[in-house]
Amino acid sequence: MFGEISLSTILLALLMTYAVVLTYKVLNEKNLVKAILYTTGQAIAYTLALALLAAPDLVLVYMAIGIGMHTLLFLYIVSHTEDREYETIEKVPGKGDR
Amino acid sequence: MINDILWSYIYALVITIIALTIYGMATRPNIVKKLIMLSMLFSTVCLMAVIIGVHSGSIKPPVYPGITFTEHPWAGTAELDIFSYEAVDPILQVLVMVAIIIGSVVLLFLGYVAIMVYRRYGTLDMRLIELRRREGYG
Amino acid sequence: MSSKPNEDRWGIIRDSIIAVLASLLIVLFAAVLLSTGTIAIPPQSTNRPLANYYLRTVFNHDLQWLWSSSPETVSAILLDHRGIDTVYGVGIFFITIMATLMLTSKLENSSRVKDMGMDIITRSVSKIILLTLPVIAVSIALHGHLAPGGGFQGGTVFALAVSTAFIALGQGFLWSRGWSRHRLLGLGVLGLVIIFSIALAIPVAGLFRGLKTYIMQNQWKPWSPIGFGYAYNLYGLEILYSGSLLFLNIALFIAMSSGLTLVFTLLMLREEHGKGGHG
Repeated sequence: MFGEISLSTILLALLMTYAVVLTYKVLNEKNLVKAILYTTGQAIAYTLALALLAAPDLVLVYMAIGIGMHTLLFLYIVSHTEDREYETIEKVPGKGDR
Repeated sequence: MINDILWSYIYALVITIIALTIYGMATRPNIVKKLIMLSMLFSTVCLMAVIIGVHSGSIKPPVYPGITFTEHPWAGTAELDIFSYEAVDPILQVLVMVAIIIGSVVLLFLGYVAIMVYRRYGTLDMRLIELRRREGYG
Repeated sequence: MSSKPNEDRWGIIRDSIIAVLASLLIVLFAAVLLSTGTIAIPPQSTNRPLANYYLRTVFNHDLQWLWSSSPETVSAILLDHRGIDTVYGVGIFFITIMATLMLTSKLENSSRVKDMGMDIITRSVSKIILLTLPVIAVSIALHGHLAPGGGFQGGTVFALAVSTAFIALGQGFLWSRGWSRHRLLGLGVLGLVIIFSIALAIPVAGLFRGLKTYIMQNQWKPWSPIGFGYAYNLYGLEILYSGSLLFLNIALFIAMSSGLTLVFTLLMLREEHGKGGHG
């Protein structure tokens, strides 16, 4: 019931607050593995919000793709390339060669 | 009154997430961070499309209940009236479904491009890639 | 961009300008949506007229020239009312898969790779997942016209189950049992061919009988009296298959599962020495 103030609206507001906090943490995180785990937490919040908004087909698709596939893809890229982010160029290792 | 405030808060949060992800894509120099922000932007826009379809009153998914392969009583006019009042908007869910599938495949392709860039330039930092391109590295 | 500490303030000014511009753009977009009535605070009291039309006519036995004989509105709109958009969407899906295949054309999969995978607990759990999740995926795809589900959902669950097994059980597990990229691509193209043939079945039949028909037509209409039907009598039971929705769900499941499995497993390939390398 979204007409008057109800548990559904309060729950949706809580889930979106959780998502905003996690997005801000991803922005400032230098360790990429932690950033990917925050992204997974945000995808879980979005799946719960989609279930609250009565969209059962989207819950099935978003669970498989948002939580499963995106985490898998980003963790694979990070494991085969570098896994930190640097503020200025001097701190990047390997800047001197070639 | 409080309902107005709650709904304005929810819409303001969605708008904040979209603005934060666009800012993150533009300013952070690592390619994987840009891809993470792009996936978040995509998911948030899809969620916003579903939030628009909600209306006040009872909320039920747009599926007529109680039909199986062998038991399928046809729906009368009165039941269809109740069904069309209580269900959420189904058209937005259709658009979001196709969009999620296509967006995920495009993100997979961009991941491959990121791995290829790493193999060629040795780094994933955009400023360092620009320096190395200027020196004629690749 | 700058490496000297006293030039770093240009970086901060640039970042803040981008932040202000992004926020302004999004707030402007939200204001436009609010003023035209798309977003209503609090939410509107009834559904929009187009949604009311779809919800009333999708399972209405009295209006048989408008219905699509399926109580699941999302699948009916996706495969019958807006079916051509789905066909285009699956076409774009496969074009992107082809672009990905072009990038990795130099990698070979080999069953001689001795990769034992992870420890024994993960391997046992992955074997259970590999046995049970594909059955669930096929079940989700087959009842997509009666309950939430369909070809898209089943395909993604199937691909995720296979890729979990691929990571946990090692590379040689699947390649030595006959899975190869050419067979997966062939299955994907088979799914596409079935979709296109279902879309063109009724126009071809109408051509032979001299009737006016439409592409992706599902049910009988008074001005084009040919259709797929909606129920079938089997040993006294009347089974509701909603016209072309059941066959399209099966074809979408085949296409989506093999396409996504192909892209996932190509990501995990280890390149042989001398092949791949500088892309």
